[in-house]
Amino acid sequence: MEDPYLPKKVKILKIMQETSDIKTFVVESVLPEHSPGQFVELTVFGVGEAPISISSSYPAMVLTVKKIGSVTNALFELKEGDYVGVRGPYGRGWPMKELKRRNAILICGGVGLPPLRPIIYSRLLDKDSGSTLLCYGARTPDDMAYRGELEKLAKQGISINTTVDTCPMGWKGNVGVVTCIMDRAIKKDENAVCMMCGPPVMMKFASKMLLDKGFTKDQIYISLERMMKCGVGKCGHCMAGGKYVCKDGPVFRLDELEKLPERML
Amino acid sequence: MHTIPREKLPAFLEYLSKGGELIVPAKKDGLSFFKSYEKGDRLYLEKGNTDYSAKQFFFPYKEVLYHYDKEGNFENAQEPRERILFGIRPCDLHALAVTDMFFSDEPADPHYLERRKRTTLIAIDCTTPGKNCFCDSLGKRDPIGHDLLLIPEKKFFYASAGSEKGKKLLEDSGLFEKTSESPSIKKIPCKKKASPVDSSRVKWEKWGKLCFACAACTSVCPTCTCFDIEDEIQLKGGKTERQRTWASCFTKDFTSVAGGHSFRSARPEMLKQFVNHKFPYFKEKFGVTMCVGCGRCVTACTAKIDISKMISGK
Ligand SMILES: Cc1cc2nc3c(=O)[nH]c(=O)nc-3n(C[C@H](O)[C@H](O)[C@H](O)COP(=O)(O)OP(=O)(O)OC[C@H]3O[C@@H](n4cnc5c(N)ncnc54)[C@H](O)[C@@H]3O)c2cc1C
Ligand code: SF4
Ligand code: SF4
Ligand code: FES
Repeated sequence: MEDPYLPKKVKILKIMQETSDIKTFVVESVLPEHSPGQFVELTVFGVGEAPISISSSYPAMVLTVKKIGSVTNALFELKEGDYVGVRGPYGRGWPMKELKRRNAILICGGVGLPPLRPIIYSRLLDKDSGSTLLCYGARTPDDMAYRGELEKLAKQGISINTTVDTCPMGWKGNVGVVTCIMDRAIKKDENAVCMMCGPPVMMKFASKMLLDKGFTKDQIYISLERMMKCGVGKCGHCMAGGKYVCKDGPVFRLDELEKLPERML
Repeated sequence: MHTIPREKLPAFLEYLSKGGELIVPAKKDGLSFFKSYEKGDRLYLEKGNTDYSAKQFFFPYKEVLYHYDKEGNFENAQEPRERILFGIRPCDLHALAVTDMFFSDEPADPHYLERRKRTTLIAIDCTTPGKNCFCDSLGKRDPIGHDLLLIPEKKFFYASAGSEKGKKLLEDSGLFEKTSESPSIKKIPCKKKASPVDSSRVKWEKWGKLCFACAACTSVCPTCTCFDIEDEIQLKGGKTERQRTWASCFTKDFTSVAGGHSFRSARPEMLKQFVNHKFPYFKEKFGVTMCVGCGRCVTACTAKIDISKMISGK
């Protein structure tokens, strides 16, 4: 019998410093095929595990991580050539089939961008896809991950809208929470699928704004964050309203979420 | 049907203990629980249920899943062994049926299932329920899934096999006799009754206000299976243990994420998760309730929260 809790050992191939507390790790790809929005359980040996979204399209395995506690701090000490453990891929990701030929509206804050990133790349590869628009909010310009990459994507036809909560001198971009840029950048679009990932309050206000603009609940998808220990529907930590966020989600459609007998955001 | 006289029970236990670790119900310092059998143990049988279930023998309070070295080479830490669990009651057989379903659901949990596969279940039918039992209201009074069932009579036990393993015990031990008669003993009904209402009609605030969130209920409940996975570096040998320990939905940390936000911190919400998981959530997925009406959480609750009343909308 296969053991779902047993990680596979993989080498860290490349590390990129994104911001003072966010790094991107490219690791060996040994797990089964993954789709956008899925995640892995990452082990730092001697410390423990943490759930991390896969921020690349298959077959690449790229993880973008914010330093926040014991596992992520220890991960930041590792160098290229060191090993970590991974198991997965887990969860139900973004509705990629539904997205075909439709417009994509992506909304994120903080480290909510990594799980959305593979959607952007799958759209660049697919000539039949509709337009792609990203609204991304960070605390300060220095907290913005993938800054250089976002500029390149803008040149490739992706509509990139960024904003920061507070800004030092010299920032020429938007200031304010993500809903401010959403208000300007997003218009009612019956042919769009909206996908968001970020802090619960942000998603609450962002989905309300989308509904006010005339989007319907079945056009809005949300990736939930929950405490997760196992990733496979066993440990119970991620359970919400009878669903296992790790297995039935983390991506849910807004109307599905609202039917559940518990507050989800 | 077979029979075994009461005075031959010690001989049967001796016989069983040759086949592996024998686990029996006993009572010490006012608490009843399952333990490894030692000669001369006085068994706690025929008197309602044990205070603690046999859950820990399949899903231990703390278990080491793996050891691994600095290079990240993992080694399985399970040491499978044959066990005979003697004296388990019908409600706890139902509890095992529930946890079997849960841990067999894909992806299956090999750590639990391996222990389960290696355990022979010798059940004792329940004639006298404990003061907080309500298993018959939930249809969990009739034994299921046992290898052998003993049914108490005044001077002897009836024995009926539920599996090939059980049949073999009847034949090979040489302690049982065939009979054409059948059990006559009356089962006393549970004193407590429950008739589950829709979750929206349960008085969450009323009961939630009483709750101390002490997690005693989830730890005594035979069907609670939530866990943490933690790594602990061993002082000797430079190895790390990956441990699995029980967790409870009555702790704030259970649902807290980065930034310290906890999704369920109010007590009525915690209580609602406990009860909804036991009833609508589990039933929707597996077709049966997760709660088996063993009454242990009622006995354990210092705030006198009574799940049989709560689920009935009282
Ligand atoms: C599906 C999913 C995808 C995620 N993707 C990413 C990602 O791509 N990049 C990223 O940087 N972060 C991601 N996270 C968040 C990340 O898992 C947590 O930040 C990480 O577990 C913290 O671990 P730690 O040991 O460093 O912190 P700890 O020392 O354990 O704790 C720091 C804080 O994180 C919270 N926390 C601890 N364990 C978990 C856990 N297992 N799940 C959620 N919160 C926890 C604690 O309550 C505490 O407030 C994701 C979380 C989920 C559920
Ligand atoms: S919820 Fe209470 S009565 Fe039901 S199985 Fe658990 S401990 Fe027994
Ligand atoms: S969520 Fe609560 S009630 Fe359900 S198994 Fe876990 S600890 Fe028990
Ligand atoms: S993370 Fe363990 S059940 Fe979802």
